[in-house]
Amino acid sequence: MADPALPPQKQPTNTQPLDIETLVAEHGPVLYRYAYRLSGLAADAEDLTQQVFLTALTKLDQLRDPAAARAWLCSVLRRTYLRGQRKPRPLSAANLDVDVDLLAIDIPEELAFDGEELQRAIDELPEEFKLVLVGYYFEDCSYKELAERLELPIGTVMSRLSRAKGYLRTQLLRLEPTGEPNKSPSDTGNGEPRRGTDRVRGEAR
Amino acid sequence: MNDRDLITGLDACRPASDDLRQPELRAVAESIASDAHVAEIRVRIERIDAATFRAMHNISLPVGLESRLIARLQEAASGDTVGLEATSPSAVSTPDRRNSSTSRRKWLAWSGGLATAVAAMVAAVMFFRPAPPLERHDLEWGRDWHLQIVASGDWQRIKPDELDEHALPSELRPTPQRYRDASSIVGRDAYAYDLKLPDGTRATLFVIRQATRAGLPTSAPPQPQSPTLGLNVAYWQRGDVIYVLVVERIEDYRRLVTTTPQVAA
Repeated sequence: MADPALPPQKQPTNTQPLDIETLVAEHGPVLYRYAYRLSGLAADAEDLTQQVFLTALTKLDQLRDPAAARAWLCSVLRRTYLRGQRKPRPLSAANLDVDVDLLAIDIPEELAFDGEELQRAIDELPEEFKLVLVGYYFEDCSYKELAERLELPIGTVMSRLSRAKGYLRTQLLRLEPTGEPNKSPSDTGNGEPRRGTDRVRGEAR
Repeated sequence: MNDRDLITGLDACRPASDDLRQPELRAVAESIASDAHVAEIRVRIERIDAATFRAMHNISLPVGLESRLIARLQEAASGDTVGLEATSPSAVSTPDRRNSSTSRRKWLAWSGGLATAVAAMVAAVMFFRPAPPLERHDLEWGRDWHLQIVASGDWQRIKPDELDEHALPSELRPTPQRYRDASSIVGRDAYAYDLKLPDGTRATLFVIRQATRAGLPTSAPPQPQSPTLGLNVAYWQRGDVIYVLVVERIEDYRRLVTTTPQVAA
């Protein structure tokens, strides 16, 4: 099974006719990972991925443009995921203000985030923010295209994306006493994880 | 342009893309060109973005994912049991409805009404007729129940404080995280519990209410009674509850339950 190309820019245009096994091989990994980031659980991610391909199986002959397969599968995934959501919002959208101060610190080129911490932060986002954020990193499209796919105004997508990314920054960027972000954040040394913007305030220029 | 709008615009841009050429980002592009500090912030956002992107996609795929997906699709294709999902109108063509006529709509409405009436009658008959008790040979169908359950999903999470409400067998080693009503699949008052082993292998426990004794073991048998067609089915009964555990491999069974010498009911 091929892994997705890393740069979120361009996808090669595929004009070959598709069969379901090709779809699974080409898009299975990215859909599973997309589903994992949305659901937060491996079992749910596999179920979601399964549902997406079951739908694809029944609609495959209607797929006019094979190059649009990924966008279509992502759309089915989002809808399937949303239909299964019964949980209340974990975090109020009011807590998602853009924190400008966080961007006043030096960010090393080789920065790396912990996948589990990332997932915890994603899980705390309200659904409407989570969908925009995870879609931005998985759907391989611009914010304008994302707005079309989500059927939202461009300004709404930009705002939600920025606030969600800002929330991730507050959760994932941890500072050493020197002001350097910790590349592998774990704890503060006293067992209490450092959270929120207080970690970086005062370090801003 | 205030800081918030500036960050919002920068956050919308993908690294190394031409997103900054979009009209709504013109002011952001001008700020980057004229202000070194803004350009620096852009670099920081891109670095954070790149790290986030890597972490987002850095998820190990479960062992056998592709083969499981394809196997279930083949089952669905042969059984024609697939539920339809809403799809994106932009990528999927819709059937040509220009030839649809009023008579066709009337026919559909009439046949729909008739189907509903027949379904209601069948449901009424089924409701008032008691289901025959499950016997050993009925439980061999656990294999098919498992396949249907895995294909259809629709699990609900079990809250820790609700665990006592579930009639789970004491032999079960892991605590299930998800369950669903399986009455429509089993044809009895039944629930299914999703069990997943660390290597991604799936197993399903069915908990079926039945007051009648079925001559089954009263505890989990030392090994599944029905090792057929790539799936192993074990069953036992305690009180008015029948347990049916479906696993892929014998060793999975041993990892999921503790077994004791059995006594026939």
